[in-house]
Amino acid sequence: MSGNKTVLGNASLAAFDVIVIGSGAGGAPVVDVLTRFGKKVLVLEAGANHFDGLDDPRGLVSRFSNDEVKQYSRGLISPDSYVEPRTFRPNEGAGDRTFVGDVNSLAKTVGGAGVHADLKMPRFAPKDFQLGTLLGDTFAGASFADWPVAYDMLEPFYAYVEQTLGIQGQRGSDPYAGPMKADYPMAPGNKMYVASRIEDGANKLGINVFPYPSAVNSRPYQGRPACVDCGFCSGYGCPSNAKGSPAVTMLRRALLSQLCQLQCETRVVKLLANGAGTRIDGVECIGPDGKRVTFRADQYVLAASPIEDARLLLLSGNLGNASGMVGRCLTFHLQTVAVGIFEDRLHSHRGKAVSHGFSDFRGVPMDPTKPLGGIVEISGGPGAVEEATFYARILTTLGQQFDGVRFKRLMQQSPGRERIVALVMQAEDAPQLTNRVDLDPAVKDLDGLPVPRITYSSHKFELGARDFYAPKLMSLLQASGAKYGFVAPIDEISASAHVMGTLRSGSDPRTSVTNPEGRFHGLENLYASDGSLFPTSSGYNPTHTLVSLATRVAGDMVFPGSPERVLA
Amino acid sequence: MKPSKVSRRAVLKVLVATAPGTVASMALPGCSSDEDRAETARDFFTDPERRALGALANIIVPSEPGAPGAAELGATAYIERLLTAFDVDPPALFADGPFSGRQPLPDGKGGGDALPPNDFLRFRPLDRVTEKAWRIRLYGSKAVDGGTLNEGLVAPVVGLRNLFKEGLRAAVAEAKAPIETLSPEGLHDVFAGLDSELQKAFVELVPQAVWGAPEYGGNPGGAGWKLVHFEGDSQPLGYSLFDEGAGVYHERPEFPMSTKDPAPDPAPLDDGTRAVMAQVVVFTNGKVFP
Ligand SMILES: Cc1cc2nc3c(=O)[nH]c(=O)nc-3n(C[C@H](O)[C@H](O)[C@H](O)COP(=O)(O)OP(=O)(O)OC[C@H]3O[C@@H](n4cnc5c(N)ncnc54)[C@H](O)[C@@H]3O)c2cc1C
Ligand code: SF4
Repeated sequence: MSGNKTVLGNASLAAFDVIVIGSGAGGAPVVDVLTRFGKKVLVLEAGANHFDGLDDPRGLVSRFSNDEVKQYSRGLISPDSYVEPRTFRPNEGAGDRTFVGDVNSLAKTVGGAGVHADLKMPRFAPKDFQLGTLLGDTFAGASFADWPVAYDMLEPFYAYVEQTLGIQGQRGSDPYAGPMKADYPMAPGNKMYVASRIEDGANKLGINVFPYPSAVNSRPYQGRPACVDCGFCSGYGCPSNAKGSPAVTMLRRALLSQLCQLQCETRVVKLLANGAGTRIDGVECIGPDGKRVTFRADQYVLAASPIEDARLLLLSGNLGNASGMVGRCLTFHLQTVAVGIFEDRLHSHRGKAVSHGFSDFRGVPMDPTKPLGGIVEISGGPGAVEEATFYARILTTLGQQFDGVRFKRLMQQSPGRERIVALVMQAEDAPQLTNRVDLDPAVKDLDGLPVPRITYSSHKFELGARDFYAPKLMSLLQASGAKYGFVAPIDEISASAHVMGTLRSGSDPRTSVTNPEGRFHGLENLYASDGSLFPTSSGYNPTHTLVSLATRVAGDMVFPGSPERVLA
Repeated sequence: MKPSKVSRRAVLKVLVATAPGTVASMALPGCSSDEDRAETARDFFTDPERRALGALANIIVPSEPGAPGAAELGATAYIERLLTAFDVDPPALFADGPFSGRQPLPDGKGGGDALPPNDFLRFRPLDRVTEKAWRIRLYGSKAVDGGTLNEGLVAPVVGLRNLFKEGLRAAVAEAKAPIETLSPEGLHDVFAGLDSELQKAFVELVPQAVWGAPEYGGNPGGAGWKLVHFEGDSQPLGYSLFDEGAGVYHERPEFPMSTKDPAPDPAPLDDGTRAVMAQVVVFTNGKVFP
């Protein structure tokens, strides 16, 4: 059993108004809003805690570090597929499964994946909420739908999240972005040298590079220090808490309120419904010691991330699934990664992974000269262990014998860390009913529970956008002075950490799982508050919208019909 | 998987790895200073096995005059400490944080020179689920209570301990002379004769040893990082130093963030590396730009 503290916050609370399942980007905003308005909240989190003092006003100490072995090689906060596998198949015709292992897993820890995301936080654009209307049925097999909330409704929540997490950025620099009523609370931080080099090429091609909005302090903010551009940001927890993750901002505030208790290493395995299936009466969990325990409250919020949310409903007797839509319209972003290697050293491992990007390839609905792609991140290089993995794969593929001398030269000359850039386009992923999560019929996890099975194939919609923009990404590499350029092939099993859909929100209970406020159709006290609600994926990183939407869900729980009142 | 870094996203993920062969290398003695190591048990291998481990690790990162190889860079200690991780409590798997004490604290004036203590010398406790996973990884699924989760559907996990111990024991027993004394060709043959999973484990673990944090047993004093001109962990100083009085960032002149490095390129691309890049480009239908 763990030596970690497994109960945080007010350990003496024994009765709760609300239980929130998952402490990540979807859960933390809900817990924060509810406790600010006097509700007693129990948070149940499957992962362990790696912050000291998260619930202590005297100080917060991160236990994360610039340590590749701990996070990249050994996966401190990644679910381990030896005991918590998932399964995959490209389509139903492929049999029960074609793969068992790690499929799109997010982090499992107090604070969720927001802890080790580098938290690039652009807003979605107004049109992203209207693709049902704008695209209709043009793309056979795709199920585009309008969001039940519009950009204008979400705007004040976006602004609130920008202030609460502390988002740096430059208002008006992204020409595709929607209107912002207030400035970002912080100016952009330092520009990575690699971004300047790409901007040189972009200027020649008329591409507009701008500072990427991110929840990272560019000055001391709310008691947390300025980011030092340490170089271990994406995939690493921040050692100094300069990263404004939902954990160290919203969740911490809730834990300090005395109205919140967080039980970690405690996984919810079943939602217990009343006889009529109209209310949730409790949740069954497996605690830190492996024993089962039940908790009860008046209301319940599912924020375990889209794949685990759907799994939990299916494990609970297909709950909330009158529409048959639970688990469906699972979306990722189709990432097109154009890799450039330069002759000279760019020290592209220094910085916060991405300081700049551009939205020129986001596209315009129904304009064939500008298909809907996505924002492009100008990404830096990895640390040395990750870099070595890159070369080892090349050498074991290219040669019969492992060429150790060349391996060493590659590490010394460092094309893959010092001289590399990756242009990563996060393209809109067409929702499809057939892309879904269900329970694997045979594969189980360490506690004997069926694991989630992901059935997923890309649609012509996003593949077409990739074909359209990939050559343009290559042209940009060339214009920027790269020596070598290539587009990484698509992985059959998407490795994207942008996971959306599965509990689509909408007004019509026949075609959606949750209502516009995030409450389940037909279940009066169960809500969802994460990316599972997204009807479409947009072509922007999802987490800002996810946190803003979760804040709105909580707002509606406190002030039904007037969720923005919690922003005051 | 990280959406924002090159790494596993790139081409190499889909290139199916073949079992690595070998190249010539020289055996070298084990690693040096223990100052920056956390203490864990280290008596898993016999001396001949340990020497064989070092010699075989040198196939991955060979030793050259003036440029150490894997054995000098602590590969044996790293692997042995991993395999014996559960001999200490908490298990020596995930070093603590936030800082290693190698870089100073920023002073709020755009500089800093006070070193924080080294937190990496301690290890994080494991939760129930993580402990089970790592026991399976090290001891094998059959040796762990409840470790065989999906018999018939998923192949059993061969524990890393067995893989290394049995592989090295057999290699030492079968070799005509101590492995570290074999000719480059002889070493090469021994490596090629290892179980393919063990070969893969060498390719995976040796770089972790050489370029991971020294507290895990390898990379003594950061010698592996120095070899490849890498700064290693940079916190708490980092690369952008915030001056709170002036409200601006300064940069470290010798390690700038936003401008070109002032020093000349310590290791420009040579023809061999260019050839590898050209092959990657062919594989991926990419381009060598004029
Ligand atoms: C390396 C990396 C970089 C990223 N970078 C960005 C970025 O720059 N910008 C961006 O927008 N997004 C980024 N993301 C994605 C971002 O992290 C996610 O969008 C976001 O964290 C999702 O929030 P969530 O609450 O849905 O899920 P999570 O943050 O994963 O939280 C869900 C939590 O629920 C817990 N849980 C799951 N099942 C149960 C259960 N049954 N019982 C109890 N608890 C449970 C999990 O342990 C987890 O802590 C990145 C992700 C990764 C991994
Ligand atoms: S780059 Fe900045 S925000 Fe990211 S981990 Fe380092 S200090 Fe924290």
